[in-house]
Formats: sequence, C-alpha cells, structure tokens
Amino acid sequence: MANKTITINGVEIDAEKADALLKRIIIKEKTNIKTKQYNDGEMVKMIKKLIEEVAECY
Amino acid sequence: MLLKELRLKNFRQFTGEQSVSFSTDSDKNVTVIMGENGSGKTTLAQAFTWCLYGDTDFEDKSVLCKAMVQAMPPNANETVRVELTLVHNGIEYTAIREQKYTKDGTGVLKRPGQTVFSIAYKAKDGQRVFVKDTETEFRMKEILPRELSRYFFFDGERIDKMSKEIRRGKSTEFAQAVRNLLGLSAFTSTLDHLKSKTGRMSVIKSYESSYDVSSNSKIAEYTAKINDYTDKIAKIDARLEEMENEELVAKDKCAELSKRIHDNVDSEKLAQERERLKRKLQGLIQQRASNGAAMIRKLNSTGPAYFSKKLMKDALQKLSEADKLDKGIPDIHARTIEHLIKRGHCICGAEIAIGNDAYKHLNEVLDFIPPQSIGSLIGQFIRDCELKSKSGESLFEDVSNDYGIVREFDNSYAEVEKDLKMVESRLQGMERVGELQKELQRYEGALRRLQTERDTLNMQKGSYTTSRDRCGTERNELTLKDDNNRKIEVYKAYAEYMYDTLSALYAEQEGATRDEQEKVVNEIFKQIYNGGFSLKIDEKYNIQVIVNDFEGYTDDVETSTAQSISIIFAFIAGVIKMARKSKNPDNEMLVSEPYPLVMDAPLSSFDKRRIKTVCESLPEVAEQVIIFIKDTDGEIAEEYMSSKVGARYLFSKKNEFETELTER
Repeated sequence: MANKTITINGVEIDAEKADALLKRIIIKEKTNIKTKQYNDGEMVKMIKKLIEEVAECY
Repeated sequence: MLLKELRLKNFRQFTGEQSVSFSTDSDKNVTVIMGENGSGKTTLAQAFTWCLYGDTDFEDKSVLCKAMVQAMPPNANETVRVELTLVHNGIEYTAIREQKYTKDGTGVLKRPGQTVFSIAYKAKDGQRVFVKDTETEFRMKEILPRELSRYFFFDGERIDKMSKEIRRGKSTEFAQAVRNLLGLSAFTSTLDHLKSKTGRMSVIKSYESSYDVSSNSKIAEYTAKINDYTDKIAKIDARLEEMENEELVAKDKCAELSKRIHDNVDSEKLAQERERLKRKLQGLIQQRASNGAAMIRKLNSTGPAYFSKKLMKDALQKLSEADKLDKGIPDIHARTIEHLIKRGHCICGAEIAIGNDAYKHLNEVLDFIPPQSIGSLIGQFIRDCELKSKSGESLFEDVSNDYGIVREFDNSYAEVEKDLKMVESRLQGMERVGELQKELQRYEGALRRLQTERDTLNMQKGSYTTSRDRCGTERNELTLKDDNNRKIEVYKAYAEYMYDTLSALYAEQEGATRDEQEKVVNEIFKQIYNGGFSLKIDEKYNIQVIVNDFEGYTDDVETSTAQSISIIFAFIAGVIKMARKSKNPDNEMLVSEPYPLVMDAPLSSFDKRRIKTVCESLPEVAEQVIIFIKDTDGEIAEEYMSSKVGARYLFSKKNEFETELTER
C-alpha cells in the first residue's frame, strides 16, 4: 500500500495511515460479523472514532 | 453453517417426536438417510426449508401428520414443530418453527394459523438466548439467505427449474449472497458503513450532516440539495436495477415466444384450412338436406302415378274392351232430362207423362249421363291416366339424379370429415400463432418502453450527479474556510479515501475470487461430468456452458439432465470449497464459513461411473454432506463413500401416513 500524502477535496491526508486504518476497520467488521457485538449505528460511530483518532495525530 | 440435529414433531408422516443427528466429524462428514420410494425422503428434506423459511414445495400445505389428524378428537389442538440445530460462525443456533392445528366441534380440521418462527442461540455462559422477533429474519438471512438455500438443500427431482435458475437471471441478492459466502462480507459491510447506498446512516453521511452552518448559511442549503440529489440518484439506481430484471424477464419471454411461434408456424395455415373444411362440411350438409327434401317431394308428388303406371295400363286395356258400357248421350246432363220430364214434353214434342214410354225411356237414360254417367267417368279416368302417366315419366330419371347427388355428397362428406379430423389432430398440441404473436408484440413493446425509460433515467441521473458534484464543490469551498468544518472535511476525506480504496480493492478481489471460483467450479465439473464442456461465470454469477471442441462457438448450449445436475453440483461445491479456502490465514480480511450440502435424490439421473465420481468428490469439497437416497442408489453411494460415512439412518415406513426414522 502507498506511503504518501494525498489531497482529497482540497485537504491532505496520510494515505499510509488511511490504508492501515482501513485494514483495522475490515478486521473489526469481520469480527463483528461473527460476534454481532455492535449494530450498524454503533459500527458507524466506532469507525468515525477511529478516523478522528488517526486524523488528529496527522 | 454446519447442521447438528433435526428434530421433528408430527411433521407430515413423522408422527410424534423424532430426530436425526448429522455427522459433524470432519473425517466422516457424510450422513446417509436411506429409504424406499414414498417413505419420506423428500419430506425430510423439505422439513429443512419449512423450518428455516416456512414453506415447502408440497401442493398440500398442511404439514400436520395425517395419522394424527385422524386420531384427534373434536375441539382438540395439535402442534407441528421442526427444530434445526446448527453451528454458524462458531455459535450454536436452534431454528424453531411451529404451527398449531385445531379441530372444530364437528371434528373438522380448521385452517391452521400462521407459523411461528424463532431462533435461539447458546450464549458464552451456555444459556439459551432467543433472538428478538424483529431480528429473526435478518439473522436467518445472514446464516443462509433463502436465495441460496435451494442450492444447499438440493433436490435432484426438481432439477430442471434449478438448472434454468442457475444459468439465467440472478438477482442482486443472489450475487451478494454468493460474494458473502466467498468471504467478501467484511468488505461489503465496511463499504456500507462508510458510504451507504441505501440511504442508511453512514460515516460520510454523518459527517455531512454535522457541518457547522453558523459560519455560512449556504452550507446548510448545499447540504440539503446534495441530500436531495443523492436520494433522487438512489431512487434512479434502484429503478434501473429493477428494470434490469424486468428486461431480463421480457427478453426471456420474447425468446420463448419466438421459439413457440416458429414451432407453431404451420398452425395458422392449418387453422385456416380447418375453417375452410368446416364451412365446406356445413355446405355439404345443407346441400344434402335440400337435395334429399327435393327428392322426397318429387316422390310424394309423382311417385304414386309412376308406381301405378302398370295398374293404369291394365285398367285402360280393360276399359277399351268395354265400349258397350258407354251408352251416354254426349253433353246431356241429368238436369236436362229432369227438366224435360218436369215440362212434360220432349225436345221432339212427344208427351212425357209418368209411366208412359217416353217417361221410362228418359229415366233409363239418367243412368248413363252425368252425374251418374259411367262413360263420362271412364273418359275422365282415361284423361287423368294420360296426364298422370306423363307427369311420372321423368320420375325415375329425376330421382336417380337426386339420389346420385345425395350419394355423392355422402362420399364428399366422408372425405372432408376425414381431412378435417386430420387437420384437427395436427392442430392438437399446437398453439395459436396469432395469440402468441400478440403476446410477443406486448413484450417487445415493454422492452422498447424500458429502453426509453432507461435512457430518460440515465439522462436524469447524469444531470443530478453533475448538480450534486457542483454543490459539493461549492460547499467544500465554504467549509474549508472555517476551522471546525475543515476538521470535518479532513475526517470525511479519510472516509472517502478508504471508501474509494476499498471499492477498488473489492472489485479486484471480487473479480479474482470469481475467476478462482470459475476455475474451481470447472475442476469439479470436469471431475464429475468429464464431458466436452466448460463453464463461465459472469458478474451476476450466472453460469454459461461452453462447448470446448468448437472454437469460436460462444453461445450457451442446452444441457441434458445429468449435465444440469453436474453444473449445479459443480457450482455449489465450488462455492463451498471457496468458502472453506478463505479460512486460510493469508486471507485474514475474508470471512470464512463451512457449509453443508443437503441432497435429496441427487444420484437418480447419473450413470454408475458418474455416481462414483460424485460420491468421491462431494465429501472432499463440502465440509458436511447429508444425502437422502433410495435404497438402490444408497447401497452404491455407501459403497463409494464408505470411509466417509459418519451416520446412517433408515426410513421405516409403517403405513402410508407414518414413517419412523431409525439409526442403522
């Protein structure tokens, strides 16, 4: 996966961090498919929280 | 999903409570349930679909055991229940379906109530927890979607329908279900959570609704517009997808009707010929009737004269010899004589007095003159005879002609009737091309309308997309000017980036998975069927059969029953094999799950060689195989799969209404 900064809609993001985050999210989704721990709304909230953590560090 | 146990209560011929435990041993993964014809193999297979989806393929939808119905007293209740215990994603579930039956006061079974479905699962602490009623359908869809169930609960006796379904017109749900089985469900849920296409709350939508609008009121205006355009585009997309299915149905119907018209092209000509012959027959009937009537009329009018000709001839002969009898005075009537007697003197002047000679003579004359004149009567008779003889002269010829025509009609009638019967027998089983043509035109019209609608919708979609993008750009310019909103734009950019990256990855992975699946399906198909065909899988998971030996021949080919079953086996075994393959640690992002194959009469269409290959390959590709089989096929199957059979059951038929399941 790429290790670079890219611009989307006029804002820069760290693609490497975004890729790593995406992998984390997919694995969390995979776990949730099995455990049914969170519903859709909770999953959306969790993803937002993860994005915000990564974006704050950038 | 692996099946552990099926428990039945009063389900059709399975009286009382009965159960089957399926082998879940990975080495001995086959369960064979054997029975003679009519013992309940199909019923048991149908118990799975009744339990999971509340429906069966039986015409009689009443599932209460008939023996139980007979034994129930008036006003009594009885319950049918099927419980299926299975393991899915490491959780043990029990799907339970019940239906209550009641008899009224006269002992008649009332219409049963709705079935009640529930799903329970074993929680970590071992307690049985019931899934909420509102969630059962969703959970069932996740365990095994109905669209896919018929491929796992495979019915060899209804192969034709399945064969068509697997090759044409898959729904989006089907393709989605296959993708999920192939392990892509984590991808689809992530995509859906990042940016939902169905209008549900997603990460991006949530960010878009959280802009700080106090900095510029235009932001809220643009957001409202963007949401409106997005909703409109989603509606168009939904309609376009719906239209795709409608188009497929209409195209199939057009192809089918064209074929039927081609097959019945002679029927129109034959129908015209039939009408012509019918009219001819009717004409003949009328002609025969009128000729017959004319003949009878002629016979009635001139027949007596004709047939009395000989008598008249003899009578005239006799009369000619009896000239002496004719003593009449021409043109003198009895009234003349009576007048003369009354006046007292004759024409000649002689006196006429009672008793004198003249009086006596005149009275004698009265016997020979009209109205009592024999001579006159004879003369009249002779004249009549002459007239009648003349009128009857042509009778023989006329009747002969008329009768000849009637006879000829009979022959023509028989001939036309024969032709008509022949035409009708040819028409039997043929369809009316005119009707088919009308139906074809209707579907062709529908296809044209769909095309026009598609063009219009695509234009609208293009215009909405442009407007939405423009609003997005303009809103973006405003939001970037404000710190709070800029932060939201950054989060959203991460979400957009991940969505785009994952969409591309998903497409790539899905394509690769489908290619891999095509390879696996072909390997299995070759192993089972070993003919000159190969299979192609399109993006909707429709299967096309390609003839290998004819390079350049790309059309789908029609297959025999054995080939169709092989295709279905290969397809589903391929999906199962792939689902297991995604368990590989390299595929950490893919979801894996083993699936069973439950098959009713799967081998009935195969020859011995193919039974062997099927029996050897299925336990290898599927994690669990459950076979309902008739005794003759069962013995062969057990011979080939002996090392893989982990459980054996037998259907013991007590009578037409009751069957018991016994372990062998």
